[in-house]
This record gives sequence, C-alpha cells and structure tokens, in this order.
Amino acid sequence: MKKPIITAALVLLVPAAGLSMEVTGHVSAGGQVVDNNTNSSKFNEYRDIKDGFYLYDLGLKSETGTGLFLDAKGKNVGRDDQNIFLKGGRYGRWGVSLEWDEIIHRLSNRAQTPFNNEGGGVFTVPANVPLVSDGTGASGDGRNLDSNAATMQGNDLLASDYMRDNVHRVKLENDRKKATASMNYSLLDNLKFRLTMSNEDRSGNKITYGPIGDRPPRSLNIQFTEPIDYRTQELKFETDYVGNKVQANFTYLLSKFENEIDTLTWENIYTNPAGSAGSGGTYEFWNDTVGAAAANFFPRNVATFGRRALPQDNLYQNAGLTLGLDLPLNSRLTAAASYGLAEQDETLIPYSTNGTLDSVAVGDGLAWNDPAKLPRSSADAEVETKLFNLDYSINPIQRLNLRAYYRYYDLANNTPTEEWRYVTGDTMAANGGVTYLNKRRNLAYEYDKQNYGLDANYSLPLWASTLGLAYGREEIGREFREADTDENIYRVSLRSRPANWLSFRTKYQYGDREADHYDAEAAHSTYWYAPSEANNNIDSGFTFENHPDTRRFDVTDRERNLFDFQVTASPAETLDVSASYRYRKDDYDSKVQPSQPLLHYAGGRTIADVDRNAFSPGDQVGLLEDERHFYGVDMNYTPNQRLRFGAFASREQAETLQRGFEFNENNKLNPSGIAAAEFGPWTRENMQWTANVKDTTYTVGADVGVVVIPKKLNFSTNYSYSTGKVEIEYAGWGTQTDPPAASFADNGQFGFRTPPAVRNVRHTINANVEYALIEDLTVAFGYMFEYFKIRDWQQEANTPWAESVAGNEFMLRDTSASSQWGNRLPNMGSYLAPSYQAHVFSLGLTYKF
Amino acid sequence: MKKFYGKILWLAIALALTAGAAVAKDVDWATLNPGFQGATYVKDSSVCFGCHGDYEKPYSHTAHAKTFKFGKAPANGDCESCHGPRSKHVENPTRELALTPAQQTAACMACHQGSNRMSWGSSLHASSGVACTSCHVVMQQKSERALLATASEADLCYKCHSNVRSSLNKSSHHPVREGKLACSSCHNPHGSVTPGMLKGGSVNETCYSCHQEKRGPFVWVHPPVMENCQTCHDPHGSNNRKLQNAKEAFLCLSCHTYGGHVNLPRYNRVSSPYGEGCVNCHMAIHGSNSPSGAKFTR
Repeated sequence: MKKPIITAALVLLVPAAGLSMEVTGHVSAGGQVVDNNTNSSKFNEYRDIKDGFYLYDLGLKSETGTGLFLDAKGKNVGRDDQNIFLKGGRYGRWGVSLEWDEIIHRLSNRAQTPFNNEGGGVFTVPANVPLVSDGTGASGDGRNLDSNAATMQGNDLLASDYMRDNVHRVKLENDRKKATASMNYSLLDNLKFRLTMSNEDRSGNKITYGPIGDRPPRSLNIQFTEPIDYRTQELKFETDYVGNKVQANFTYLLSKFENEIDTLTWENIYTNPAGSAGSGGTYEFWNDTVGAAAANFFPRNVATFGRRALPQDNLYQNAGLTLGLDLPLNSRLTAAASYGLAEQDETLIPYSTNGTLDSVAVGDGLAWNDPAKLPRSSADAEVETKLFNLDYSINPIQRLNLRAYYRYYDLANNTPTEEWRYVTGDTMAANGGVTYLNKRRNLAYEYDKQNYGLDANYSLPLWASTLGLAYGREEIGREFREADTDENIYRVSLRSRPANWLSFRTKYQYGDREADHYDAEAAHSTYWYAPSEANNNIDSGFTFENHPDTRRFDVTDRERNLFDFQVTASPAETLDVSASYRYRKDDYDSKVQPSQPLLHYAGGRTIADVDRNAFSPGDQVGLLEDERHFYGVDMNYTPNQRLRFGAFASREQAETLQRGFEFNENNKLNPSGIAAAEFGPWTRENMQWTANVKDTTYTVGADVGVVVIPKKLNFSTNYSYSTGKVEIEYAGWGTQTDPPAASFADNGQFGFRTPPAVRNVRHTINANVEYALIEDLTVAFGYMFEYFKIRDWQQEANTPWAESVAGNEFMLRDTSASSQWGNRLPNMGSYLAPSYQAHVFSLGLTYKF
Repeated sequence: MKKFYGKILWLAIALALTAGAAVAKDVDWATLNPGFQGATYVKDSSVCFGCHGDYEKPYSHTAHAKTFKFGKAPANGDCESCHGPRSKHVENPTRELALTPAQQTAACMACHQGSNRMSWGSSLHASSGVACTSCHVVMQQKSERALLATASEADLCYKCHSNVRSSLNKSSHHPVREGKLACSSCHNPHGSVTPGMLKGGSVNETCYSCHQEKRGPFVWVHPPVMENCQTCHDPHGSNNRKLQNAKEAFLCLSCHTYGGHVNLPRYNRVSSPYGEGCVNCHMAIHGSNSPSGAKFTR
C-alpha cells in the first residue's frame, strides 16, 4: 500500500514544487523483461529486477531566487529496492530531509516446508511422521526409537514420504523498510544542530532449525523458517561547533529495538512409535537401549513442541563528545569520550515446554515448564561501554610530523550471574532429571582494551617522499576468557613520487601478540555442580572443557607480518595504470608443550595415577596459520572526450591451516581405559587431523563508454567476472589412508576425507545504447546477461557421507544410516539459491526539464 | 547517570553561548605558500571566470556555490575563500600560486574541520598522504552527494582499495554493488577514533547499527561474538556463506574441541556435513535469552 502512495506523492511534488520556483530535473521510466531460467533468488538477492514498468530514476531540483530549495530523488520507485529522498531548506542555513529506503534480502524461491505459520511464532504441521518401533523398550510397550537398522531405515522412508507429501512452498526472504526524517539548522555560521529520527521495519523470515532431544544421537531436528518482525526506532541529536581554534561535536543516540514475536514454537513432526501403548497422538516417550537388558533402558520424555526465545527487545543509548584544539607550534589535540548503555529485560520463558516434573531426588519437584523454577524471572541484562581517546599531533620542524595517541575502550557486563539447570532440547529423563553437566552459570563476559603509540612521518628531500615510522601497543584484559593479550606493533612506510607521472607507496607492519598465561580451565567457572554429583568421566567442570592443547586464535599468541605495495603511473595524460600487492600472514604458534591437565584433579571421582599423570601430545590444536596474498591491477584510458576504457583484474588467495583432535569425551578422566580403542583418548597423537584450506578469488572487469555521435548517440558496456574456490585438504584421523590401522569407511562413523572444492562463478555483461530523440528526450535500450554457478558439497547430498533418503532432497541423512537420529535432517531443499542464467531487456525514456 | 547527562548538557549550552565570540578558522595563506605574501583579495568572481569560464556553469550547481550565494556570503569572496588572495595571480596568471593537495586540505579545514572530520588530522588517510582533493571535486557535481570525484562512492574507494572490490564481488557480500550500502555506511573516511576508521566506537557497535537484533545483551553470551564480530565474519565479503571466515563446521572447529561430535567435521551422530554445519543445532550462536540456551541450542 505504501508504494503507490509514495509514488503518487513524488509525482505530485513536481507541479507543486514548480510554483514560483525554477525547476529542473529528469524522469527515467520504462519497462523490463526478465528471463531467469531457474528463478533463482540469488539473481535478485539484494535487488528487484523483474518484468514490468517502473520509474528507474527521478530527480527534481527546484529553487527560488532567495536560497530556498527543494530536491527530490527517486530510484527504482515502486520496487522492493526503492529509495526516495526529499530535501528542502535554505542553503547554508537550515534543511529538512525525508528518506524512504527499502532493502530486500531474498534467500530462496524454492524452499519448501511442512510447517504452517500460525502467527505469533507458532509453527504446526498438518500431520506427523508415524514412526515405527522395533518392539523393544523398557516396558515392552513398543516405544523404543533407538531401533535396529532395519526399523531405523524404515522410519527414514516414512519421514521421506512425509516430507514429500506435506511440504509446500514458502517464500524465504526478508526486507527492511526505513523511514528517516532529519532536520539541520545553523544557529550561527559555526554552530549547527542536527536531529534525525528513523523507523525501520524488518519483516519476513530466515532459515533456522528446531532440534528436540537431549543428546546428538537422540536429537530430532528439522530445518524451517524463523519469522522476522522487527522494528527499530532511533533518535539522534548532534551539535557541531567549528571555531577558529576550537571545534566540538556532541552526539546522542537512542535506539529502541522491538521484536513483535517473542518466541519461536514449533511442533515435533514425529509421533509416538506405533506400539501397544502410547501409539498415535502426541509424542512423549522414548527409550534408549544399550543392548536388550531392561536395566540398560534410559527413558526420555520428549516434548511435542520445541520453543526458544527470539531476539529480544533491547534499548541502546550512546552519548559522545569530541573536542579538537589547534595549539601552538602547528599542533592539534583531539579528545573524544563516549558512554554507551545497552539494556534488555525480557521476561524469560521457562526452561522447557515439557511438563515433566523435575526429579525430587536432585531437583525441586517443579515441572520444567514452570516459570517458578527459574532463578530469576527476567533477563536483567545490561552492558555499558566507555570510550576515551586522546590524539596529539605536532610538526616540531618543517618536515616532521609526530603523533601520539591513547585509546581506552571498556565493555562492562552488568548482567547478573545465576545458577541454572537447563533442559537440552526440551527433553529430559523420564524421572525429570537432567545431566549434572546442565548445571551452568551464565558468565558476564567483559573486556577492556587500551591502544597507545607514536607515529612519525618525515618528508625526505628527494622525490617528494615521506618516510613513516610507528610503534603501537594494544592491551586487552578479559573476564572469564582464557587469556589477556598484549601486542606490540611496528610499522615502517614510504611513499614517493619519483616523477610527475609515477608514484608508489609501501608499508611493512609487524605485530607480536602474546597471551598472558593461557588458562585452559577458564571455562570451569561456568559449572556449579559439586564433585560428588559427577557420575561419569566427562566431568568438564573438574577436568577440561576443550582439549588441553587447544589455543583459541582470538586470545592466543600471534605473530603478524603485513606488507603492502602500490604503484600508480600516468605515462600519458589519458592513461592511468596502477598495480598493488598485499600480503598478510598470521602465525598462531603458541609454543604449546605437552601438559598434564589432570595433575591437580579435584573432582569427586576416582582417578588412577596413570591418568592423573597423563600428558597431552603438545601439538597445538586450533587455527595455526592464516596467510593471504592479493594482487591487483587497474587501468583507465580516456584518449579523448568521446571514448573511455577501464579495466581491472585481481587475484586473492587465503591459505589457512588448522589442526583438530578427536577424542572420546566420555573418557576425559580415564584416557587409559580406551588407550587402544578406535574412538580413542585425548592423549593419543594419531587422533589428530588437519585441514589446509585454500580460498582463491579472481575478479576481472572492463568497461567502455563511447560517444558515437556527440549529443546524439552514446554506447556503454561493462563486463565483470568473479570466481571463488574453497579447497579443503583434509588429512589425519577420519581419512581412509591414515592411522589407526583400520581405515575408516566413508559410510562408517568417523570417515571423512578431502571434500570437493566449493566453487562459485559470476559473469555479468551490461550494454546500453542511448539515443537523443530531441534535446531533452532520450530513449535507452539496455541488455544485461548474468550467469551464476555454484557447487557446494554442503548444499547437496553427493559426498561419501551424506545422502538423500530415497532420492528425496527434503530428507538427508548420514550414509551410515545408523541409528543416530542427530544425523537426520528434514530440510527445505538443496541449493536454496541455485545457479542461474538471466537475461534482462529494458527500454526506457529519459526526459529532462 | 543523571549527573553525567546534566554535565554534558551544560557543556553543550556553554559552547553555544560562546559561539558568537568566535569565527570560523582563518587560513594563513602566506605560511601555506610564500607566494601569497603581499597579495590581496579581489573579491569579484567575475574576474576569475573571465579566464576560468569553463568552470562557471558546473560550479554554479554545487552546494558551495549555492551556500555562498544564498547563505552568509564569504568574507573573502566566493573563489578566494578556497583559493586564497588572488591579486598577484590576476596581475600575472601563472601556476606559481597553485595549491598542493596538502595546502588545499588546509583551506578546506577552515570550514570543514568539525563534525565527522574532527579526527582528520590523525586519520589513516591523512597520514597516508590523502588530501581532500584526492576524493572530492569542488568545482562540479559528479556524484549525487558529497561532491565526490567519481559518480559512485565505491568506485572512488576502489582506486586505492582494490582488495575490497575483490571481496565485495564475492558470493556472500553486503549489498554495496547493488547500491544499497556504501563504504561510508560503516566507515568514516575522514577518520575516527576506531581502528579501520569505523563509524562506531568498536567493530561491534558499527555492526549493531544495522543488526540491532544481535545487540543483546544476552543472558548466555558467546564471548568471541561479544568481543568482535570479525572473529567469525569478514564484512567485506566471503566465498563462504553468511560472510563467514571459514566454511561452516571448520569455523567452529578452530576453537572448540570438547570431544565427541564437537571435534570433527563429520561424526555420524550429527548433521554437520550438510545443512549449515554446527548451527543446524546451535542456531542461537550469537547469544541466547532462553534459560536453556547455555549451548545455544535454544
């Protein structure tokens, strides 16, 4: 509804603005025909090119002779990516502007889902998958879903049939519509005020997932849509003073975000398995078998609906003041300070939709869907930020510029910490219990950062050159993270102009970051169970959360080398050529040594000496290296006023190396117990794997503009090509050729190998001919061809470890077809934004007045 | 908190009240270029356009021309407010008094040193030898806004930052090449207090200006998310989905080695080799307000 109103208002402005004013402008309108062979959403991911007539471009300038003006601009008026801008005022004194802007984000035109959106974030299904049990179970009632292979695969076919029979198309996209009003006023020549108000509505949906189940093997998951219904309202006030020696700027921002939908609730698509009891109806009961003995059955209560909180309403304020002082000796001091406050106090949903009563033995006997069970009823979340910056520069002698700076940024998290006993995936033991590992505290992560340093730039008496030297230091202190970090940064730069037609600049930067005592046990703070409560050997609270040799790359040692070179040449007045090279290497080698993470074990379980004294291999785990090269060349040639030619080409390659380490998490405390097992201990070196990733991008472009007949006929064309390739070379544990001795089958539990390269390529050609029918009226014919192709092993089931069930893209599973529910993924289709070829023909008229 | 706001308000008022006692900055032309020594202002633009007539019409459509014409007239005349006293040039029209880019910048700063240009002097661009005229053309309107040297802001930035052009052409990208965002949507090219010349006080504050739903704060925090969005994302573009620095599970695997299904790109109890990897189950990865969201599965 809004689009026709806005379009009409814009058109009416033309005659209205024309009263008593000098009016100039232009209107470009026409029609388009689009042929997109796969109707892929990728073609219109962020734009709205489609069949039909529309206003491409609208511009209006109107002025009185006394300084009053009114400008109006419109692009793609009436379409999902339109922009309309109106501004009026008096030059140099005051102005009022209004802007309406829309951004579309299309994710898929081919997604399908069995869910019906009931509104309010509730998603239901018209039917359920009638699962079948293999007849076993704790009470023999046939509700066991940890079935034998044949039953499991039979259920897979039922799920596949269900998806085929019940899915329907759903448009997967979201859009932003933003209205902005701004007023600026110059109280004095050097004192200005500006007030900006905006309202942005974002609506549509995006991809999400709905796992129900307490552990991965028992996790019933489905890919579906998450509704988006956001509103952000902002108010910004700014005042700016520019004096002879003093400048000041004050800003205040108030931003209020609201989500009209508080929670996402989705129905479990699976029913109780057919059996003697509990058959049909809703899904409540599930057994986990380890062998056939009744003592090995561990019943779970599984919810009929899953629920989680969606992005919550929040309020953000920020006030900042910046001062600039011009001081003696051609020096300048800039000081800035700002304070930010983010708050969120949404009412919390209960732990679960599941109404099972909590175990009295270890809990409070309340139902898990009872809000009274929560340690507090609302989020009470708050974060403060403080920023302080000082910058002083001086030219003590003619050729020398010195600059010293200090910056402090502090993020304080004032969200209270509580002790929670959460439910995983709305599923708990039949007696209401959850694992002791679910006793967790929410930690108020926060940090502060200081940057300070000195820059010097000296103008050399040769070739108009400037030599720069700089030293900087960054110190980050963190709460509840593994390490604080300090980094020394050194930089040398040179820019020079050896000749009027030739200039270059180059820079080398070295950074040496050190982690101050990497504490792998930092995560212990999040657990609050007593040692006596740990009833198995996972016990992350008293052993370790992550493998002891892991170093998280954002908080560990890093050596960075960065080199930059660019040369620009203008050998003729009509020709510019530039070339650039950029190199960066991050080395995260943290000199990890073998460690004994259990040496001071203080938990309540029995630990053998061989395990207490066990060493990790000492090979660093995590991201190890990141190396990047960029090469680029640009050229612009304008031999005369009727011809211009431009071209560019670039190659970018990023290569990273990471190491992983697989181990059985159930044996953190007793690695010796599985020393020779296939799924082995954290102490065994041959459990490691590596991934060497090469990410390569080529970009090429050219454009030509020709004035065929001056003031009569113009021709322009451009071509761009971009291709990306991501190759992951996987080696070590999981491949078929490396230890352990029994090679892993692709369809086994752990088999993995180097996957096919991910590739994408895009060609775009545009051609336009403009012919002036009369002086102010031009007809334009345009043609665009766009080709996009993508191949991504993750988006299709053609790898050794993933397959479609019965060839149905809406039901994926691991090729092992094992009784592990967690690898089943009912989904909305493969390649939601597939390859395409598109042709666009356009014909338009432009009238200037 | 109220005292803090009160002090800020009084400071703003004090600045406003003292404004009348001060004027915009004067340019010391003789110090900038000794050739100006002894020169006086002509204060008649028709004299200038007598030789430089080609500029008259395109210049007349610019914001400078209109502001000088209809706003407060510049004390030193339309042309000479920026080009300096030109009496000597009128007598002897040579290029002796042509301003270098650095000198042009000094002239611009006489009026434009405030607002988002406050940190220009200490900016990366200034220290790299970039001048106002490197990016702006005052004498004609080539762009819709801001008197840029090219019609498109992105094309202007790509002249020096061709690596960013390469990134923005990747499959996963912000809508810059579609014209819905510009480099200046996130960066202040005139300098800021944030590394990378970002408009916000930090990387995250800049990202939250559009992605307010990620702002939180959350009950359950994912620490690298809270500290820096760039730990996982490349905002300029990526060959991986959702601007990610690495492909799905491999991104998470660079930090997480809890054991079991967490440590491998494929373990048959989970669906991480398809769908979207780890976020197939851990979809609330930016933070969670669900009481059962400790592992971001809610």
